[in-house]
Amino acid sequence: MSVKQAQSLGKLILLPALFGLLISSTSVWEILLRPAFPHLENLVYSRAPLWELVVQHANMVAVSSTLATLVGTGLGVFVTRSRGREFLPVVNSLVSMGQTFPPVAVLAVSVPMVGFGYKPTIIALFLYGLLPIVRNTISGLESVGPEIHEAAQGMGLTAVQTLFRVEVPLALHVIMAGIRTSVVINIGTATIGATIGAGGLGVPIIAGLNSDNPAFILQGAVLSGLFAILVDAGMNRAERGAVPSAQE
Amino acid sequence: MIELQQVNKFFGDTPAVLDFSLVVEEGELCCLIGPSGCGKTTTLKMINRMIETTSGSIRVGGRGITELKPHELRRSMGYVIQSIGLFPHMTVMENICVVPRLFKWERGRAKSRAMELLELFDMPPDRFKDKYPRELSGGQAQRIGVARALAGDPDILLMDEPFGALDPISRANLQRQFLRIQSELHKTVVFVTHDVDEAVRLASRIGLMQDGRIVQADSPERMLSLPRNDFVERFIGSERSLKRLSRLRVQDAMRAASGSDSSFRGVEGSDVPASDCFSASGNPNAISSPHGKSGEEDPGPVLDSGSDLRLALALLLQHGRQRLPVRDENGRIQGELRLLDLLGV
Repeated sequence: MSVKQAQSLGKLILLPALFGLLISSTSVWEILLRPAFPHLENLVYSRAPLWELVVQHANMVAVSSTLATLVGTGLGVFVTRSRGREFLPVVNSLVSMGQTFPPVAVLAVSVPMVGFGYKPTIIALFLYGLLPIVRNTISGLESVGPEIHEAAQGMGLTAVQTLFRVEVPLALHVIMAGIRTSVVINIGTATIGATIGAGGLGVPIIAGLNSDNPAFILQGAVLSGLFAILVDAGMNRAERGAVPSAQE
Repeated sequence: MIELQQVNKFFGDTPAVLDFSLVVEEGELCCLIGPSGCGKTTTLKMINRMIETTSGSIRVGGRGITELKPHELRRSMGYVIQSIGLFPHMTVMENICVVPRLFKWERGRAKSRAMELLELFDMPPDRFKDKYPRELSGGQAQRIGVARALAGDPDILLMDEPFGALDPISRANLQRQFLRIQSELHKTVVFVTHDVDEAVRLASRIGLMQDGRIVQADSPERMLSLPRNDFVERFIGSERSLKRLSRLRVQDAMRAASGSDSSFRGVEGSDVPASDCFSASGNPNAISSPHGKSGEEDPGPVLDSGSDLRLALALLLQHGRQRLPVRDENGRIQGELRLLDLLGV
């Protein structure tokens, strides 16, 4: 078995298995963490089952990333059309601002408007996840050479046909990379949702910080990290399956 | 037929094409030549509305080009550009089938059309149809570029310096191949180039442009023998008599063999192996000396009746001959070409 095969087997089977084990069984955590923290009373976060927190987490990421993908690719397509090109600099700077604005600050601003919990978290994650998608959509579409555009136009493809038959297939690789980056960032960032009662894997982290319990923090951090790696690998695989002829 | 009447194009205040009138007849291969920035590419792109005219009218097949939507107009014309623009994510086959798919041809018909075109360009379909553009050489890629333009069987072909980026050998090959295909298909072609030799070799008519205006539009022969003014003469260059020779074939100037003529003793036609003769259609390497360099009785090369006179002259000079034998496509000696006769053409 080659190194590559071994790696992909690890990603395919071992990681999901490990993740499944960690969210379903508390005794595994006991075994892993007890030697490090022999005197800690509560070793495993128990106010909610870990798998339930994962589901909440996944829900927030799925909703915010789907929104970010729809809006982000749409914006990227719009500003690379001749009609929308004048908005390109504006969109670029707006989206960069969305990235520099800390998610916590977004929460602080949006909580008074939409209340605590799920909604402000989705808004923050959505804004934060927009940049990589917009940026990659733009650079992917812009990388399609002028000769390709001229040939497409000269052959009689309409603007829409050129977009879907030529530009998007050529840019797909880069656009997908942007979406993956965005999702991975969001999985990490979604832990802040716990500060305003949105649940998710941030809950044990916050609880751990409040009660000075490093084992809780580790549980939240390790699970969200693993979750991000899993989703990234899964999306990578799905992408390769969908575009077998994508150029190397 | 393409009719341009008093076409003008301004980019802002800058004139690009001025009072341009030209009729390209059905089946004609019209080359637009001129120095960079003379407006030849702009003129070409106005025909398929990649660039809109400022004023004047362009009619294609009797209909004004503004009667159709731009993309419909373009589908009815093939378009070939110097940078080729094959779609990198599609195979050769898929690239050729783009326009047939736009026409919603059924899959089988589009596919067999693509096969036919690959054959036409001497690219065995089995070897090439599943390749991606990045796997092709420049010459192969541009062949696919031309095949793709022909796929929807348009009456009109617009070509913008299509062979300009190729090395001299591929370019000469493609020109020959394109001439052969054009003689079968009789498309109405507008061909932009800045290469006089290319224009002379390919065109049935040449339109020479300067500063957005057409200076002279004539057959290559007339343009070479009767340049209208100094500019035309300078642009065509001092070798115009040689360029004229490249328009003519050996068979146009040779003397046919008669039974009693003793001048071709050097070569017996029946000796010429068939393998030496297959490329009478014009490969310059086809002129071979069938006997090789066998001592002092070297009979010299044998000319192919179909090759051009410029090449024949070069061989006469190179071998220091007054005359050389000429063979036909089947390798039979047909007659001879005399150096002195070239002065008369």
